[in-house]
Amino acid sequence: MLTIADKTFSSRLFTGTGKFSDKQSMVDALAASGSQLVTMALKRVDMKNRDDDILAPLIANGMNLLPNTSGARTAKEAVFAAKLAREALQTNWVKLEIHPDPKYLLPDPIETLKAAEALALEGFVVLPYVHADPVLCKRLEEVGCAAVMPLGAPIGSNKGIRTQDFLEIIIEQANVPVIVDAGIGSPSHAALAMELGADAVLVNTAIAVARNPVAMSRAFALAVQSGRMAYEAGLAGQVQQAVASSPLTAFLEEA
Amino acid sequence: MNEITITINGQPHQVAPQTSVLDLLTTLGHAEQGMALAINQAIISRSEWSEHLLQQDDDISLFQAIAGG
Repeated sequence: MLTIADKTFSSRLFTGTGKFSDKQSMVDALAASGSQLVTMALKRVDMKNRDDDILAPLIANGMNLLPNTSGARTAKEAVFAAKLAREALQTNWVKLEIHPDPKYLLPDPIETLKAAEALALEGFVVLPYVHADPVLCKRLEEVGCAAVMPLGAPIGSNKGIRTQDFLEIIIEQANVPVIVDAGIGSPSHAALAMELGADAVLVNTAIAVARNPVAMSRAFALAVQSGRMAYEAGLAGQVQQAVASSPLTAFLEEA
Repeated sequence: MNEITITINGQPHQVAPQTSVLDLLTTLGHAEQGMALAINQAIISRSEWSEHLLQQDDDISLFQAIAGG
């Protein structure tokens, strides 16, 4: 079981709700994933076109909601977004994300640290989306973040765990849960993150845009369980030379 | 009584005096869960919606939870 702040999760696969082709496929895929924590975004209401109400089915399925601050470019904007999200979704949990550059959507570490400190002081359960920077992750832990969410690769890139060496340092040093977020494009990427000792992964694009999101959700759920099981079982170390798995009895040679 | 003018997400709106935030959102069909609102950059929490009355020139920002990663 994974505990973050006041909540306990039996599934270590967290999921996003974006990019699904329609509401029903999102609801079905998230149910198949077994995920107990799903992210949502906030936007200014378009007074002319109504957006689908995706909230009701998520609540009906008992999902915990994790609103994000996507769209915020500064700490000040992110704090405002977090407070709006708290009103909209009636939760003090927030995925803090501040990415001013739309091309790579990389998180701004300075604004993120400022916002994290302010939000933690106001009683938010802060889960910051950050680069795989071990020093920053320690600083975020020190200002009261409930977990850290370092990236594997840019959001939606599906490139996998490109930050492995730094994730390993973060996992080694962290006293809060480490959730690998962003870039996980296939179940094997998720399994690798879990084998490294990540406490959970957050997957969105890879499930939402799969040809069959429900089946892909199941594949991710199995990969996350498998990776976690392997981590807990203790992986055998790597060596350069071969080490025989069978006894070298030389039975074909004359005695 | 003369109506008062407010803006909602940049669009001008006319409402009767003594209209509460809840009245407005109910009329607009936006009083359901998942909504949040700020008036002149100050967030008005849901518990205050029924008592908070709109004033002339209020600048309302209305937000909604949507799908996202």
